[in-house]
Amino acid sequence: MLGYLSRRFLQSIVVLLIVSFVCFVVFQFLGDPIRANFGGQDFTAEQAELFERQLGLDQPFYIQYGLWLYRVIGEPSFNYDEMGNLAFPFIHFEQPNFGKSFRQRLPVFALIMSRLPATIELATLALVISTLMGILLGMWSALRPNSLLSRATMVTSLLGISTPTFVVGLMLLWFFAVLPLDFWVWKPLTGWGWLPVEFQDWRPLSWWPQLPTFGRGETVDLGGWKSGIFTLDGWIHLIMPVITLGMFQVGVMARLTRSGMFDALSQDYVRTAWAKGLSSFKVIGKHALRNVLIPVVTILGLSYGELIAFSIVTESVFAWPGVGRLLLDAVNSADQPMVVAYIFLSAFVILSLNLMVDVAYLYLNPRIRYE
Amino acid sequence: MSEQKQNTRWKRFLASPITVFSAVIVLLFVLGAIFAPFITPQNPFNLAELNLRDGKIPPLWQEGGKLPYILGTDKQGRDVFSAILYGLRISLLVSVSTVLISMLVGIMAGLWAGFYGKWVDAALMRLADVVFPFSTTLTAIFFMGLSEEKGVVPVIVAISIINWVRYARTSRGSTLAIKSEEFISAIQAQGAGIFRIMFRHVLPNIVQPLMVVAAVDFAVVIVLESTLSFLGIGVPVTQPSLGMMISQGKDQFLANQWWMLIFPGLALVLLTMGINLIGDWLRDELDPRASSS
Repeated sequence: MLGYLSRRFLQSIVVLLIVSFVCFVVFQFLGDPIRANFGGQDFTAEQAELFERQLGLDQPFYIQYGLWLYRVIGEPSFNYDEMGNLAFPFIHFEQPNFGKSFRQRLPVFALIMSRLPATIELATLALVISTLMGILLGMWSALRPNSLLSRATMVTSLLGISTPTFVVGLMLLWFFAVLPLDFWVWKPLTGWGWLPVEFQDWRPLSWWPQLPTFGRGETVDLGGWKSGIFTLDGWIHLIMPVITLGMFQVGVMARLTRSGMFDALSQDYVRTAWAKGLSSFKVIGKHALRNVLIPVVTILGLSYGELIAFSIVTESVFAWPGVGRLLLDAVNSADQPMVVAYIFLSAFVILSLNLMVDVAYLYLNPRIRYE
Repeated sequence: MSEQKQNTRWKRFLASPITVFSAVIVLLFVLGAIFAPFITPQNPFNLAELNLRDGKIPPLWQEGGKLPYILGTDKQGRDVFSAILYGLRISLLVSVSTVLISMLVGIMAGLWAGFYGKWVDAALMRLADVVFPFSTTLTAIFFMGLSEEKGVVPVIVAISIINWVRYARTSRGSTLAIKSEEFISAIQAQGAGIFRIMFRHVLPNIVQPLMVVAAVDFAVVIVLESTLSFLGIGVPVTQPSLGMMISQGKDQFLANQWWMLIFPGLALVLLTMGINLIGDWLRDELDPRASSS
């Protein structure tokens, strides 16, 4: 068990090193750091040479990479008190240093950190809600395959898988922002002249909600973490982005749970559990569900990449001030340090979350535990 | 495969109205894309054919609509119907070439790893473990973000770069299953070379599971390409694609000039949904184990 985990851990470290190497190569050789740091202004050969030395560009390749990695992991420095003696805890690490943004002239890491809360709130809510909903709907449609809800689930899940995220977002915008404004609520029903006069002025859907189209709304500052989940306005702003981001996940989870549940229900151990006279809650919730959750957890581990990718799309549709928008802006203005830092950090997030999934996996699947 | 088996499969296909309907829709889209120059009233990306005065015309059935703009025009006077068909050409081109490239590379790698085993197999499996959590979408976004060039070819490369691993995994798994069967040892005993065995005897037996993967993959790649273009990091403005149209229609959309966005969006969803439904049918048909529904 420990062997398995440590193997996975080492593997993640290796992957992160590979990603960091690719990032470094891109950073160093695709961009022109000197020109970028001079802001496109003219400079003499001596200035360029001096700058090259300051940036360490005259060093051998492996030293440059080592230095880059050293700064990214965080430079250690000693803590001194007023007397100049070492003070507890003696050492601290600087913030990871990915360099400065070419565009905004600020440290990239700090910029990303300031935008992170918006993305984390959006992605976590979407992931939690959609996974729970997907599992419940999937279970329901396996247990009652002919009910109306089950049929609706299957059709909607297919729609959720087939519809690109940005189309989902734009459709929501249409229904909750464009139509209420222009068509059903405020305008008389044009082209409905055949209706009796008293009905032409009728607003059948005046109760239809109109949701905000962009931004996070009112946020509360919790020591640097700007949160939208403590205000009603924040929640209202979250509705459409969360549905947009979660739609795909609901579809995938519902389909997966449904087929897993079908398989589990026909297995001998479930039949035995029924025969023992266990309550249906115990049979389904404890015995069957546990086996269904194994593939669900696997897919969950693989879906973080998709989640990050689709959060970029969602943030672009709803002008959500998160890291995804930061990346898109950086890409459009060829802001290399920003793009590289984003890639490195998302690799880091994906790999650490996958390690957590591995632990959950051990808990769910004893076959691996005793390997 | 015997003729009789073919016949019953054809009958089962016809017995599933949803599948037939999706096949017809997908076929219509494909034909429309191929013959776009002959069907459409204008070439929407030949600037000489555009008339700015014909901009923002609503669809025909709405007040102010006029021929030949059946589905209306965008703000530059581009016919939406023509633009959709031309856009489909790009989407289908990207999707078909990506699937073909990934399949080719994936089959080669999978066959080799499955048949040869040893370090090739170990390397491939490690690679698969490593790239899987990164997801095709995210990698493609990163690749296009770093690439200086935009266009159809970079998009195809960006998507294929990870996509082939799925095919490699599937073909490796099937190869391992086939390899242990007796007829392969028999052929080996006759002294057949490794390439002959791989391509003449193993390959035909692993095609079916790959077809299921490929069928769904067409839809996945179409969605992916449109997403990249929507984000502005896919094909450039000069090369029309559905995602690009939707992204351009977004500005007009909030002013309720919905046709510039809804029609391309509808085309995209119908196409991917049709392909997915065909894929579902194919999976039930070719892999009876998975057909639990």
